[in-house]
Amino acid sequence: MVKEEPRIGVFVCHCGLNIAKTVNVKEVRDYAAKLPYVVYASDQEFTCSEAGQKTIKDAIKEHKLNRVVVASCSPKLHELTFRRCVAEAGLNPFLFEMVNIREHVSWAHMHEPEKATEKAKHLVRAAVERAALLEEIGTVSASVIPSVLVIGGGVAGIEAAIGLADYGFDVYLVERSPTLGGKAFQLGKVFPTEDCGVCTAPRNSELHRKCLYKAPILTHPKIKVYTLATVKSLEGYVGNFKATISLQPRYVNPQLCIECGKCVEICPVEVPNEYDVGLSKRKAIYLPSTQALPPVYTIDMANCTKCGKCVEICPTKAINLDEQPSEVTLDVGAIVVAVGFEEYEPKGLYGFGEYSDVITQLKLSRMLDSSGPTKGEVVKPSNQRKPKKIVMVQCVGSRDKSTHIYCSKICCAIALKNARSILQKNPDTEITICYKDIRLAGKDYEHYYVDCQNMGVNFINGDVLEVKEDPETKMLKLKVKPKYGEEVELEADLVVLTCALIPAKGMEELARTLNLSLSPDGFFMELHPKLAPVDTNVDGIYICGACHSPKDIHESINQAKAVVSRVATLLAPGKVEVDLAKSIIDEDLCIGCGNCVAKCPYKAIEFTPYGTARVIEIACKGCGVCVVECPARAIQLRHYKDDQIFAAVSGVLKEV
Amino acid sequence: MEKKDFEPVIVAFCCWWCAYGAADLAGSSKMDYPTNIRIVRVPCSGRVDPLHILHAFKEGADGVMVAGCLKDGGCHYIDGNMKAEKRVLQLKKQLESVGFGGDRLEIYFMSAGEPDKFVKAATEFYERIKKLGPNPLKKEV
Repeated sequence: MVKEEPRIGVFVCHCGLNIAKTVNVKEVRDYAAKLPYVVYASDQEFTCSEAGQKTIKDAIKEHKLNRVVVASCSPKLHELTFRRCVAEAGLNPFLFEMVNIREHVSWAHMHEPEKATEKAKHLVRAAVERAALLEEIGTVSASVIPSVLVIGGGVAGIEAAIGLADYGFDVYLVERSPTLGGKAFQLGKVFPTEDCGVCTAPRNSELHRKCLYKAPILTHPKIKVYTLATVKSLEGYVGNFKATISLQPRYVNPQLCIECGKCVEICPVEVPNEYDVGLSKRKAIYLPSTQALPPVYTIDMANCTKCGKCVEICPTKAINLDEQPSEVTLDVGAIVVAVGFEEYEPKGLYGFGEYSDVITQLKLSRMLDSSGPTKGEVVKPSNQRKPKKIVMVQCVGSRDKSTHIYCSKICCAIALKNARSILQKNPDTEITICYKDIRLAGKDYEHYYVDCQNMGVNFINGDVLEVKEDPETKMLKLKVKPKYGEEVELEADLVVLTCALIPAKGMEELARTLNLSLSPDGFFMELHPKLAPVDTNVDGIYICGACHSPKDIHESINQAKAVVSRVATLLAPGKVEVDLAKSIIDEDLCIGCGNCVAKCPYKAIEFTPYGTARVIEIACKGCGVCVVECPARAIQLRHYKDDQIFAAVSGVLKEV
Repeated sequence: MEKKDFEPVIVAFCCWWCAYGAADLAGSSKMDYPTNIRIVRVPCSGRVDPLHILHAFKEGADGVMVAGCLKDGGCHYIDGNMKAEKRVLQLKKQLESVGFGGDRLEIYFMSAGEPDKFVKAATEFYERIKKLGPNPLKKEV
């Protein structure tokens, strides 16, 4: 603990003009210079820059500073930068305090420069008063478990799992559906290479591309796959998580099933096949797709009548209709979340649900898949005939205040890819695309636009007002209002809605289980959009793929590779160091009531043999709930002790 | 002081993960709110002790708002926000019963991605305190 009298240095940042345009930086600096214990105050153009950091380090040495206050941007951006900076100059990183005069002052109060300057002074005063009471805080280290839980078996999850397994970590890949593969499995062709969606990149030792079906995911000695599996609960902390996985029964034993298919033949129950978006039927016992991974039958118990015919006919006695759900507990050092997206269901929009010939791009993609339900032929669901006139409607549920405000990013490419595929097969088809903007940025994408224009796709920049079916001809009539010009009417025998990509079902629940933040769009939130794009608010949990935001396979794979690097950085050193900004219990004051033990959300407080309570520092996350719960005021949270909070409160309220 | 000239000073205890982030985003989105909202950072709204709130009133705050993560699972520390809510509601009752005014204290919930909620809470609370007038503990009223 620092016993000497505080010597505080205050550094006020201009942030170019971001702060200086609104806040009178020099006035704030001069005000700070007069505050108690402040022995040095200066202002910098960019305090976070090399030059700015050098000013801090030099001032620490020259003026023997033992506390540093920086008034600049949000601590969410640069607190760690400055903690490192003061540490390099020999100060404990917790003897640093940051004042947010950009997000909380200059940007929020641009039109009131005088009041903004006054507010900046109040906040600086609070920081200085608090800084005087700050104490040194050390670190503690713990070993990490060299294994990883990957949640979600789509392209992103598979890529991350293989990458991590190749690195040498034990990987548990958990997928809630009966098969790996994710959405890409359903797509037939994917851009920009127009090959099937189930490819993953080659492993280091293999020069040729690998189909996902043949990829080493099921045979890799370091990967254990759990399908029909979901995360039930999570305990622990970075490097030392304990995840409980719920396993739904498959009712078919993968070790015994020989894929003869006799069970499917005899099963009397027929239901729409979700894999083909209802374009085909499947039985209650079924193979989720011809390329299912693992290639094992499964029973959909919601539709099974338990007639027992499959059990009788199965030659290897692989079926057990009474199989029960089970659980498995996994100890892992890190977690990767890659649970993907789903296509928005445009209920009630543009005649969807009302007319069977109004479909979505996913259904069209199933038709275009040469191994799909129509063997690559596009047909009208109402009569199985080839459509002559197709209209695609873009931005359904995207860029729209009443549904989702964001651009789903890849839907322009999806529509153009599918339009081109149709015209390559049937050049006589008339295709019209009604769009708001065509957004095709990215390597190898523009040629879809050029090709479609050359192939005669009719592009209309405008809004589709309504879709109605002509009761006699059964043709669909569309009223379209172009951005420029008069309203027009289009006729189509197939309307394809290009729908938003939305967060997968159950994502909110998973966010709660894992303690992750969601962005306003409902996707998982990254720790920082530029600097920590695959990290999350929980140390040791990372995200990749479309569960973060709509993205294509290429970008999902990039993120998955980034995650591999982040996890390896965490786990490879074998231990993790955490700071001790945690709760601390004064055993002399503790009355052993156990209130804190009961209220700690992380089970991070335990009884000592003497009946008093003790904090398990590596498990404590520093929320401070126990401090308030303690009736004896025996607990304090380091860095947020009562006197430090009182000082900040007094500081913001003092006259300036 | 005339009530209409009265400029309330408000201490806003903001949890680091959500409310503080929402205030950051409000700034980045250049959304306006009264300048007299002065944020004090806490790791979790569950760290806010009734004593901190009383201290703010003693030091002259006209209103105190506590802002935490969204209810029903939005809290970064599982349920610190719910514990905070319980404490704040209890203290509101006590402030009301001693004649200080329970309305001078409020708790709000928001996610880090909801700057509009922060701005709405800050603005509405400011208007409310403006109507209530200065902190009765202040000598010159």
